[in-house]
Amino acid sequence: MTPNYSNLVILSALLLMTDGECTAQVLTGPDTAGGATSTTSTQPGNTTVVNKTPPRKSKPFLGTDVPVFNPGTEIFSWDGQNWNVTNNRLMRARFEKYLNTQADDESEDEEYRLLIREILDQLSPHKTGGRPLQDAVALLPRASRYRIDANLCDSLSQAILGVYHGQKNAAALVYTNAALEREKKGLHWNVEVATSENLIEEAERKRGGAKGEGKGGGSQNTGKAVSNTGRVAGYFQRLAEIEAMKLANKAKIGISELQAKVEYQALILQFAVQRRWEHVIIASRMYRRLFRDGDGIIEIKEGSDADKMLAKGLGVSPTVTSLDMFANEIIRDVDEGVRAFEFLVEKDELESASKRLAESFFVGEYLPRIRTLARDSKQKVQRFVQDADALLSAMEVRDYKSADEIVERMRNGAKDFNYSKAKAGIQFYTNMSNSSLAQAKIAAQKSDMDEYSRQMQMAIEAWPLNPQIKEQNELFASVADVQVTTLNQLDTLLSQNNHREIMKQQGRFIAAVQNDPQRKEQLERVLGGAMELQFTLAKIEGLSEKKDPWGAWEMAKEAATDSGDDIELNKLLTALTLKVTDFAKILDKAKTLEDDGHSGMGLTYYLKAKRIYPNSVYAERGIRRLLDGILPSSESLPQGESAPGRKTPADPAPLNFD
Amino acid sequence: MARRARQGLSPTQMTCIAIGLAVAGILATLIFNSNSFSPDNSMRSVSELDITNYIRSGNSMGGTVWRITGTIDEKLRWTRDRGQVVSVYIEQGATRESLPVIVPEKFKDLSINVGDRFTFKVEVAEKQFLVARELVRS
Repeated sequence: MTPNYSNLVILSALLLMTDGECTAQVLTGPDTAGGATSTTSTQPGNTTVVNKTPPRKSKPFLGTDVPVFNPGTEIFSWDGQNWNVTNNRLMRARFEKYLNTQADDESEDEEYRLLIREILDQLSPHKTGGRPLQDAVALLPRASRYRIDANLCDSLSQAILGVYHGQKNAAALVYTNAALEREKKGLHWNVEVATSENLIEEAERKRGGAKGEGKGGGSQNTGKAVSNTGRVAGYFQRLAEIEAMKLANKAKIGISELQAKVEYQALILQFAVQRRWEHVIIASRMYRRLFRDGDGIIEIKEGSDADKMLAKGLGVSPTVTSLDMFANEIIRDVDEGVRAFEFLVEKDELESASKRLAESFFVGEYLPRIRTLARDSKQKVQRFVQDADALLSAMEVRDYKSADEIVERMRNGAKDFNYSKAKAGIQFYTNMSNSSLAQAKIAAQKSDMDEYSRQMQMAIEAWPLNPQIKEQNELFASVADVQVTTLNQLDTLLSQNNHREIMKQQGRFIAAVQNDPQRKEQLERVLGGAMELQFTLAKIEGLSEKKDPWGAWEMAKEAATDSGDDIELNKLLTALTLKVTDFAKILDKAKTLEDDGHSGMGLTYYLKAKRIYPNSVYAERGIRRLLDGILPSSESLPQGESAPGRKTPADPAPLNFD
Repeated sequence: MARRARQGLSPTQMTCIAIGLAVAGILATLIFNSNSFSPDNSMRSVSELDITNYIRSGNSMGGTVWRITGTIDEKLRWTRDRGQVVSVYIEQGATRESLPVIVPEKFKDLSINVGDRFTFKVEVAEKQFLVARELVRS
């Protein structure tokens, strides 16, 4: 029987999933709490072990399913989860730990291996003479003392003791049945005798009746016959009891033998599950010596978890012999795997070397070739394996920058490293992310925030750790901060009517209000006014320089009405007011008189101002206002005013001085 | 019987009466044409307005009549049928002011031009306006 790789990996994986699967594979008793049932039955020539799968709902965490391996994908399906054997963090971690572990003490390991060899030699079918089983069992306690054995030989001794007691009990029952058989034969004789006496008595009674014997003799014979009948009935009752007892004892013998056999087979399977191939061989060979009936087949119910593990994995119904062969084949395969590893390491083909060693390790972790492999040779692939793990992790979290560096390092260290797949993946996703970032920037320039968000999301999904994303986010955040600050400043300056400062920083403000129509309109209005004010200030300064301070003052006064908070304007107005103090006072007085209803005197003051500055706009306006009150011109009269007696109530009537 | 003959004024009487009426007429004409009945005489009857005082306390001068003399420096507003407002430039010693004077419509036949010099009899009217009551070119 030649084990294929899937078989090896199945069994290796089983060790890593210890508790749950062991419960199923050692064929334990029924789990009543979970509703599971485990039954055994004996058929002529073989043993059937049925371990029904408990309902999935009632299964505990990690369940009791046996993992199923798909060699095509190298994926285990177990408990609803899929595990890639060659690319699994748990297995990689275990393998990495092995690579960093010092080799076992060769001398101790050698002693242990020699002891195992001696036990196997004792059990060899070719060995003649002596007491092979007893001698082999006697060596088990010695073997169990070695650390590498993990007391498994002791467990084997315990199983053998159980078988011994079972067999001893069966022998006692056989002896009991023999005694019962002897008793049964005696009872049969007694029955025959009693029956014969009755017949003789009957014959004598008939003969005596013919000779005319008395009535008293007949009564005596009748009583004897009744006594014989009762005795025979007792014999029959005892015979029935003996038969029942024999049958019960036979059943006990069968059960005892079956129980011992099942437990022992379960132990062999347990060794196989734990990849203790040497113990599988020892236990298998002892099985032949313990159970000499030639029964070695372990029939498993089709479709059960055990069937998935063994019958489908091995390709045939497992027997004790096939397990023996399977274990031997694995030992050989591991040996070859390690030799291939050593050869590949020498050639710096670290990827293949690590794979071969990993395969051998997972299958034969406790075999001497694996345990005694020098750490120096393991260290050569350790860095490669570490990098491979790091690469997988980096690819998982899409850290393509780190992944690219790792790929380059692995490429330089291992001649046979196939980097193209990883490299292609890295390039694809980094290009996708960068392309989306570029699109996002374009969208941001167009103020298309929806498209910006979409492209940024795509960039992040493709390569979350893309350093350009961080830069872009920081840039965007800083721009957003600046924009918020700028808008706040603008609002403050607007509330202060500080149009000059807004004018100075117009570039910033124009950029900040691009997406704010309300502020944009406000800013345009302010900037328009500020620009106009600049021209006005220039005109005022020009008039002032041309010895026309009154005109300059009037213009400044007019501008201050619209832009009263402008510092430059106020400074200029103050300076001009000092120059034309009298003029300003007269105009002020005129306006006060006008407002107080002293129109005549107001008009006088306006004329007074006009005498100082004939081009005075303020004086002219004041005069016109007052004249309109006392003597409206024909043009300014309301329609029909020229006709006497028609006045509009809303308009004040001209004064009548006639 | 004989009626008494009607007795009338004698020619002498008639002549004397005619001469008396003629003298009376002459005297009346002379009196009427004398200075005491001319505008100049009316202007002279009112005081000249103290410009400084008017500007300072025009409020308390309502209803009073004054005389001012000055040159028309600007016709502020003119209407065909409601009079006009002129600015009169007045010099009173060191004081030189332009005062607005309302010339009512009754003086519409009078030609008032910039540069003409007039003497106004003005009343300080409502809202301290100076309203011309009389004016003569001077």
